[in-house]
Amino acid sequence: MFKLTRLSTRKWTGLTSFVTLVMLFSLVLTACGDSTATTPATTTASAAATTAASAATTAAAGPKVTPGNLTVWAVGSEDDAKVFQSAADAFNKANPGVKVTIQPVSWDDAHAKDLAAATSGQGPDMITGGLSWGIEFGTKGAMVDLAQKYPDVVKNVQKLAQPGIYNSVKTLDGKVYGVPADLTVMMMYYRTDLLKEAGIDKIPSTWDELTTAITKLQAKGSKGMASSWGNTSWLGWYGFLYGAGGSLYDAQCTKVNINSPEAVKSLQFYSELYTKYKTPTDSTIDFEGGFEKGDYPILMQGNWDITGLESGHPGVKGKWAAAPIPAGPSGKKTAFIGGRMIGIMNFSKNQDTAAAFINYLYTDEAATMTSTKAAELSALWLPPRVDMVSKLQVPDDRKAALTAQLSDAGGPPNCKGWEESQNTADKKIQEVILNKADPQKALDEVAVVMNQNLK
Amino acid sequence: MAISESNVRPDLTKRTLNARVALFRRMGAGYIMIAPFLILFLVFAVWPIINSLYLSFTDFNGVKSGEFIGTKNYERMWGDERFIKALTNTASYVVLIVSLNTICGLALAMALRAPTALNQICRALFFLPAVTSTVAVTVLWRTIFTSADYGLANTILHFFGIKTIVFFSSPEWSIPILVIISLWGGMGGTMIIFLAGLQSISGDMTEAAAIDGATSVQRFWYIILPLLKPTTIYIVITGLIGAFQVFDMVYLIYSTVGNIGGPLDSALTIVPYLYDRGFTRFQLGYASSIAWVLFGIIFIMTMINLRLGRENK
Repeated sequence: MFKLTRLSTRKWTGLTSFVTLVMLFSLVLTACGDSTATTPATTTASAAATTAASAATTAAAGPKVTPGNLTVWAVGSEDDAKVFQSAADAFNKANPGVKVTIQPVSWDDAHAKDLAAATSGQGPDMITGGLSWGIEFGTKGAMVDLAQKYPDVVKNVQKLAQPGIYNSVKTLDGKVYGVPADLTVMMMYYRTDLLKEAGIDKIPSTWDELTTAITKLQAKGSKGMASSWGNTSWLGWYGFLYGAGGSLYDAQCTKVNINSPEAVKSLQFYSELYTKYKTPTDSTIDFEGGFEKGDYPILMQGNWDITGLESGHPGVKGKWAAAPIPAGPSGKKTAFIGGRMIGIMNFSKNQDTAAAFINYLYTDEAATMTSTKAAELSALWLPPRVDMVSKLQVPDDRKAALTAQLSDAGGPPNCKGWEESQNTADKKIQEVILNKADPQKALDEVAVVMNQNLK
Repeated sequence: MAISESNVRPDLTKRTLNARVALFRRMGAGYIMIAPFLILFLVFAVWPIINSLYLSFTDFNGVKSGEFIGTKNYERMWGDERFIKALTNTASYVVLIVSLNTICGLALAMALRAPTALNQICRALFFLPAVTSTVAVTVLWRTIFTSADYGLANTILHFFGIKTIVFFSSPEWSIPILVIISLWGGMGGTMIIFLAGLQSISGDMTEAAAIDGATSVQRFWYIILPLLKPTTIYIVITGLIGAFQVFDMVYLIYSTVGNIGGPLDSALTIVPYLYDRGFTRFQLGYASSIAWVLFGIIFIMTMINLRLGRENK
């Protein structure tokens, strides 16, 4: 009897533990996203700018609009959604019976939420997300191939969009599951007053000038340079890689170039910015605050600070300017370009109207409207059209810097396996920076992984 | 001999029916009352669990239904360098946090067990982090450990003439930081459970031992600690389960664009890796297999703990 009782107690304990643990665990699985894919597309934007005006005029003609509701899950802040909604409101007004509603979704939640929508076949008609998300979701069958279903819309976008960002959303076999909704580009910000004090008369426009400026600024008591966007990662290194004349892959995505002599040279330089010139590796630092205080008179950051910086850091007013990132030995100053794409979910019942809305977003009217609304909110919404930069409500010198940078900017590669390889790239770059590993050896190891994933 | 309907006695069938009706009368109300829970439990817990087990044998990508690929996901795991890294990081974290949390919680409970007003205040203070959200606790510790000028940890180090440590980009600091944050947030709760355990120990035993000449260390080692064994086992098991599933802290501190594991993956633990595979890379089949391996590990550890506790009874 004792034995029997003991046995059943054991069984009961085991069963209870099992059920408890499985429950806890299922919560982890059930409760519970970035990166990319595009050919390294470094381009000049002048071609796009030239054709932009005529294409924008013809953008109104497109897919047939039918009355109904359209929901867009817009990744980003509530202000971003308000900016986007301003264009949606105008579209609604122009198309009686149509109601486009923009719902903000935070970057942290968006990927998982979009995936849940794709899995269940229920959710928004359209989503915005990281540039690569269109390809990620589209190749899995969750999004409409716009190139196939709405070729005119895609042609219009191709004519108007900054070429580097457009190439990032296109698959190698020509499919387009999402088009650029806005863009962001890496830029260099600098404190005019502190550079002047340090005897730096010329804006650092080459690697040598950059390191000379950092040395002079540090001699004056500041900490030199900070790299906020993409700190110690491939994203931060990207500009230096292309500046040295290197690339991640060849243009056709048939060959991995990450361990070329140019790439090694650029990684050597990039790591020295941290090891020799003491750029902080700690991403928890408030870099904009440090820029305002004068700790970091040179800041590598996305273009959003062109309008956003002064609202959060009023002390910097009148003491700063923006410029393209310094050019490397190849003479190129190719900056990383990112942004958001917008695409149509394959389960949407209003796909034609959604495509018409995409077309509308590329009109002068929508681009102006979003830029104006962004200015009201002290945010920077940069339409993916280079020709629209001139209409931004920012001082002329910043517009000029932005235009100059956009003329030489490239998106992430859309080569097979890049997404899977990114983590290795980051890790090896960090090994060079943090553990002083040999750049050639580190990049050779990344190349092995990239080649495996490319097959 | 097979039983056919013809040779079943009618009175037996009636008796069985009556017995069932009686049983329903006796138990029916109970079943109806637990039905809401049971239905939800089956739909939202049991079904996902069974489904995730099935998914672990497929290449499900979240959108298209996956194909059955046998044990490939499980085989892949052992050649996956990041999974091994996540596993070793998690093991280090679990060992450190479970042991330190138990020791510190017990030490606090022993120190504050007397029911004085000061002890009550101290208990409340130590328990406070346990009721604070992990997000708030993490943000606080990020500010403490940052290498910016206002970082408290480095300010203290500077006071003692020690150079700045860049905690968040030093791989060797990643797990210790996670342990410190968890310990600060968790030991107050552990203290409360140990205090409850201590209250169930009769003072007569320790008094008798003291009269027999036992020192305070002997009384703790030979009387209090053995009597606290059920409490300790409970704390260790729940601690193990929680520690193996650490996610939010890692995500809040170390997640960056395209990377969830911090510098050189030094903070990559299993659940963030599972999340990364499943919800960032759309490898839900593989993520499910990781989840089941994690379940297996936790289950085995729990069984070992229970067995050890029982053997020493």
